[in-house]
Amino acid sequence: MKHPDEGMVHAWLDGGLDDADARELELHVASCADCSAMVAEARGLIAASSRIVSLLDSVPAQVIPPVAVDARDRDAMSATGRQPARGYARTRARASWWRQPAVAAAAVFCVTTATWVSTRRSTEPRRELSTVTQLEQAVEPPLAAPTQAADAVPGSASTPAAAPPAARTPPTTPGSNPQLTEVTDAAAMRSIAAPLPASRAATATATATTNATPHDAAREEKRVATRPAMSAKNLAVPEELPATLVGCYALTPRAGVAAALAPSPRAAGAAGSRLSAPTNANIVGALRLLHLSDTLAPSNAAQRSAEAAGGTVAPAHQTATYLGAVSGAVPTVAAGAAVRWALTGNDRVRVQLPDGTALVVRIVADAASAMADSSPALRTDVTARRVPCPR
Amino acid sequence: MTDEELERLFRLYHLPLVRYLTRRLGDRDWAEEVAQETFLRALRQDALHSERSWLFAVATNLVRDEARKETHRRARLQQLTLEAQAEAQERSVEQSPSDEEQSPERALERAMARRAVDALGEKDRLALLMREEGLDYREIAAALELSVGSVGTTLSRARRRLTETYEAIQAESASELASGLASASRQGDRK
Repeated sequence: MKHPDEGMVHAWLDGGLDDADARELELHVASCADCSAMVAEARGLIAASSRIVSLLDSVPAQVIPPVAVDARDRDAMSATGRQPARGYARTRARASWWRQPAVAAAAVFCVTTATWVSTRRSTEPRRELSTVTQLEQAVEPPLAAPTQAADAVPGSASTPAAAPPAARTPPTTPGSNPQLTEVTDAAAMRSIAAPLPASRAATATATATTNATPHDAAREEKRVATRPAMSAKNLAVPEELPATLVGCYALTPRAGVAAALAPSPRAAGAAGSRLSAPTNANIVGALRLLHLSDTLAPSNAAQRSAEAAGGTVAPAHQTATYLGAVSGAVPTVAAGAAVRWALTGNDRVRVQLPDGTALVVRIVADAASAMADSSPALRTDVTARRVPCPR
Repeated sequence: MTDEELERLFRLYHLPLVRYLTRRLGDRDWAEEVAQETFLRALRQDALHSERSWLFAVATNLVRDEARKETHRRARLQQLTLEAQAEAQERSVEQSPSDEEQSPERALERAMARRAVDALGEKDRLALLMREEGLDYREIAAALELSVGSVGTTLSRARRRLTETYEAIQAESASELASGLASASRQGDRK
């Protein structure tokens, strides 16, 4: 065998040669001092480069600097127990903020899920559930049970919504109701004075109006792609955040949350359901998607009327589409399931899933700042990242 | 693709993919975004023939495509990050270094490693990072559209250049430190 070149030596050391070539090279190296030295040098380069590359691993996760909550809004919420009207009116007036060239793109901010609302039935003293209190003070009557969809997603699979597979049911703590898991946000708690009455449980069910179509998804993706960049400075003023949070968010559960909730048997395939057939159902693990779309025209009309009259309306329930079922941390929901969502604060949205479980999403510039004033025991359990909506 | 298959893919490749992307991008958040998008795209496939190389190839292409569109945005974010880190550094001066990862020495090593890796050619860098994640030569060749026979040459070149560049940066840093200390010493003598 002729002397190998450096590339061949590296291929041999990496296991990239076939057995015959490897054997031949090994025999040659054993009898050639120069090639033996080349091999030793190659081993050193491999080890050194591995070490250098490993130095890249300890990078910080925070790309966007922390965002300070506007003190005026925090004080206003604390004083009234409700979201400040001016903030809501302002955000409603800027509902289509993403279309304004001056406003930065939402793709750079992180949406952090702040709280799982529990359907508590225990006799323990209720802790403050600030955003739930805000919402339920303005809530409409419980949502009607789903009915057959009048406008199924065109082009979607015709298979019926499947019940959550039993295999994905996560283990639960003995004696605990997995759907009663509650994680409170200390920052949100301070913003509301009155504790939540025990009778107020988040038991509303979602309407089943399915409005998302592939056209909506494509339109949303285009809107996201053409949205101008959002600067951290803009994000630092929560009252400028939009009332609608159109787009898709990939949710990542934190460790330990996966076993907290079990899939609800009512989540999908309910009798009379208007749920459309799942298109991207059962995304696994960290790839859950929450797709919110602003589709409720009557709500918008009500707001316009209220603004014309010089007043404001309480946050109205919109209709959104929940895209993607999950395994583990949240109840399995068939793709295309209709959820209700409402603005509960200048930077919070409450999303109700069909089985009654509610998800509170807080908009912050980066995930860490959402927990900036939370004790470790009250950390949010889900982190959301804006992602392009699947086609 | 079935749920079980996707779950298997996720379990096997999510962490290595995020680590590869973090090393490639120097931004963990960005890396996680790209990784999630990669798995979303995998979800739409009926089956993956060579799954690891497919995932790494898609992730690599996503980074390249996104980098073209968002260079300005990322540059601005990096600037903001550096400003925030500078502020945090000022605040943490009095704190004892409890986390080795955040020590100044570690930060300096990381910065030098970043410079050295970024100094490589694109293909060399990607091949090296993929190899560090355990991709074999066939997978690297498929992901980067190279011939299998050229992967060894690519890696040997990348490793040599990376090591030499890093050593040069180290020497430069040590030289700057020495000249800085000498200058400070001279100023002290004059006083």
